[in-house]
Amino acid sequence: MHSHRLLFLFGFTCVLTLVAIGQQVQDTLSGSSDDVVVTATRTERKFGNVAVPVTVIQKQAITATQLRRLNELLQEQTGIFVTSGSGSGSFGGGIFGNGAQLQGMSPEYTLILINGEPIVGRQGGTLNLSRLTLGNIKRIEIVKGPSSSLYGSEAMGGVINIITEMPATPQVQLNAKAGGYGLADVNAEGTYANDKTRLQLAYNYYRMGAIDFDETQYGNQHDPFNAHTAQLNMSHAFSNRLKLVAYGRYYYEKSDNAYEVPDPNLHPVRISGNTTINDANVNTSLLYSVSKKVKTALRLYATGYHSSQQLIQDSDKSDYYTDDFRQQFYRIENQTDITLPANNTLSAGGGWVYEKLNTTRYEGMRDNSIVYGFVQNEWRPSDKVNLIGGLRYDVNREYASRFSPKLAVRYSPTKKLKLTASYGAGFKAPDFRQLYLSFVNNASGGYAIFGANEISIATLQQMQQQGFVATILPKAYDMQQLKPEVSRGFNLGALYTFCEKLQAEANLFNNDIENQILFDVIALRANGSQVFSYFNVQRSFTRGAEVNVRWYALPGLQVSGGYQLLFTGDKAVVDQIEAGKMYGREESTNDVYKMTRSDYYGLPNRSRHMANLKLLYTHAPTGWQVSVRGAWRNAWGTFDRDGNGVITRDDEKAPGFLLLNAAVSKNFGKRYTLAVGAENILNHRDPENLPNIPGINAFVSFSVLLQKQNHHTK
Amino acid sequence: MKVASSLVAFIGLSALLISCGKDVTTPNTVPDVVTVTNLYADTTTGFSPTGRPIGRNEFTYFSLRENKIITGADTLTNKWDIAFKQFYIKVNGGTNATGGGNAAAAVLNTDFALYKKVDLPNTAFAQDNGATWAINPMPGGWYTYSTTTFIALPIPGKTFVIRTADGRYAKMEILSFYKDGVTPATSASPAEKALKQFFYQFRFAFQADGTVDF
Repeated sequence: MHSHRLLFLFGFTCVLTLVAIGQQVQDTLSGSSDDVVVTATRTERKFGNVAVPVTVIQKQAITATQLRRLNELLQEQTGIFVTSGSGSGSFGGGIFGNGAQLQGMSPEYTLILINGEPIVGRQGGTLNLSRLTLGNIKRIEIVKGPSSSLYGSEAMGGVINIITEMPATPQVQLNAKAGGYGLADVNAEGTYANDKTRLQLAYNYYRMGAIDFDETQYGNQHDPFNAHTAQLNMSHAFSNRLKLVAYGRYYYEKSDNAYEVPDPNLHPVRISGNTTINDANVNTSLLYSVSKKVKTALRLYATGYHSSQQLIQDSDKSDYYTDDFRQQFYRIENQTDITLPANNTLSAGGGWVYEKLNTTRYEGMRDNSIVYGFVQNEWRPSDKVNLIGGLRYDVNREYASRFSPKLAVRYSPTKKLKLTASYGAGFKAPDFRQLYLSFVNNASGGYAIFGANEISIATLQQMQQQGFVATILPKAYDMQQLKPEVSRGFNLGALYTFCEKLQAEANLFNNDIENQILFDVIALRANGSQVFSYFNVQRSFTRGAEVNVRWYALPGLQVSGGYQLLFTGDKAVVDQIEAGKMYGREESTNDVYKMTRSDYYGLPNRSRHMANLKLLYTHAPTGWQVSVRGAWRNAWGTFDRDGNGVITRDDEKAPGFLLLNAAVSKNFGKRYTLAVGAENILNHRDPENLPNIPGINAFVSFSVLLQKQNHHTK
Repeated sequence: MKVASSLVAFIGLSALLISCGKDVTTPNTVPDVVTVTNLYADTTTGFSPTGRPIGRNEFTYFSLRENKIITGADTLTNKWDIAFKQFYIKVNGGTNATGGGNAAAAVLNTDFALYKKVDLPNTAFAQDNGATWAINPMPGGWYTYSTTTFIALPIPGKTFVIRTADGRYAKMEILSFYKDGVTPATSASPAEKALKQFFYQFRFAFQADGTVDF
């Protein structure tokens, strides 16, 4: 790609320029320990000083689970609801793969980063997390609550940042896992490291066979697929002051599709084909210490996503469906951190984003650009207190600009207690679909949906003259430029260390979401079918509490558990219920009843209760390790069945379940590890609501680590 | 069509009352609630080459008094009160009506079973004039249609009060758009859903004695 090359050229020019200026000062970025968090403030901070809700999952914890995909790992974490390929798409997300909800906010509001840079390629708003391998990850940082003051669009509900590993010693690691349902995962990593340079290459192969709950029916609940991930990680210190970090990733996935559709006489017609996904990202960062007090980073990022589906009718090989979707995203950003007098640390930066989309679903190519600036100051009047204030301004070509503030405070009255309070704002820009979709569904009644930028009263009137539209409805006159969806979140947290062995934390959260984009009918066609467009209409809330406890119960035994209580709702629905205007219908009798607040089960795809319990036992002398994890969630809403548009009845919910996973591993010397285990031990199967979770699945895994003894002193 | 058997007796009785009785204050004529199932309302008869469901584009005319479908030349009279075509429900009143009746309707947000007396001013009733329908055919009014699941559902608590072609009152509630009153599974194919839809199930009470009590 031409623009890729330009970016690199620009990057390397910058390298050369900066090499020339920066020669002698100490590299303050080295020597980071594992308890560092970068996502909360975009600067390295000790976990204990962070003032917003953060979860950090370290490599050892990931390894102990023997899990291989990000969605599998996240569904075991407190307060993260991983959607499962079903459920209402309008707000809950989920018909498009496994997305992650944070604090009950939809997956489309969770920003997913690798090494601080966003992954693109969302389908219906959801980024499918099974695209992301857990191989060569150093840690995963999850910031819950609106975080757009640092990250801009999409960080409405929170941020998941995957930090890849960069070992300091040369090593080669091989890892293979095999299980039922045709599961195979092979991971190979090789690292070269010396005083100045580190280079890592990693390759991952992952496949899963078909998940077919009903063999009498043609087709599968989950189609077989295989995926390849190649990664390159490198860093080079030109001097104590100047460092280059580069990361590249390429992903390819292919799934085989086969299913039946009924023809008009309900005779089955077989459809087959395949879906491919290509996804690549490259980021290059230059980190330069201007002085002991001033550090600056220049980040160049390019990513692209391409999905394509080709389906044919088996009988006559005729085309049935073709879909092609290409997205590109480029970003240039600078961030400068300055240590100021009186214990202030100032971070300021700005950047430019160019985004491009080309798909069969819209007319032609669409692009957009964003310019943004942000500033954040952290003040530490004493060891006990830090105060963070930040704001970001995004100026956008295609829709209204957005200002995102943040305020956070930490107060530690004693060494054992940390209290935090934070307020943050988030936004999600109207996506290309909401702006540019141009879709006429001939299969289901001929309805049409147009993105907000594709339609106006003038174009509707034109369509009326051309006979496409018969009647323009009053709602059409409400059409206006789409505004970003916005959230405001409050968090109140406490972390208490009872003793070295026992630590508990609790967090209360409240998120108000406004300007949510939904579609509504703007016109009618001659055959009575409807024409839709998008509006900023919905207001909703998510609130609740999260508790986590970690206890080193016995030598070698770590017990951890977590719980989230969650209440969500559409504010307009709550108003209607309180005004006595909402009814429900009994399934058995068809009788209606007036709804009360307790009849309303909130937004779809949310469990009110989620809990997990994890036991990890390590016997270092013999090399045995046992990991048992249970993650439970109660019923969650799927689809309305009684016509009131909200979740009330039990037949509108998926049953709750307990997912029990376990792994036992044994080290043979320092080099070899053998592990066996099983996922979904209780064999919970729910084809309609959890099509991606097969029954009990046993596995065996083997890994080899060849490590050169480190002679270097860092 | 399934019809409650007691209705036959009821219709006979009420017809008798109307023909010979002038005592409209008689309080003991609370009409029965009748449930009608599988009233076809332009059901899907085929699909276009692109897969779009096609019907005959015809209304089905219905008499509340008689509890039966009205066909042929009678559809041009005031023998029918209400007619169904897909999501369109028209009354025999207004410029769109073919029967020349003076029927009208009001859509209320109230519990059908608990609605015992018509207490509406005349201005609350509307007729079908051009693009303005007494019973709004748009989703979100008295029914929902999901473009995710392709399932149509009547909104609970929506009660139609109908002034019939001959000036009597009825209350009515739509229960289902689907064959036998059974909503297809969410996972059923769009084609299967299309083939089973526009078989109305509804319940109504028709007050034949000219009072406004149910």
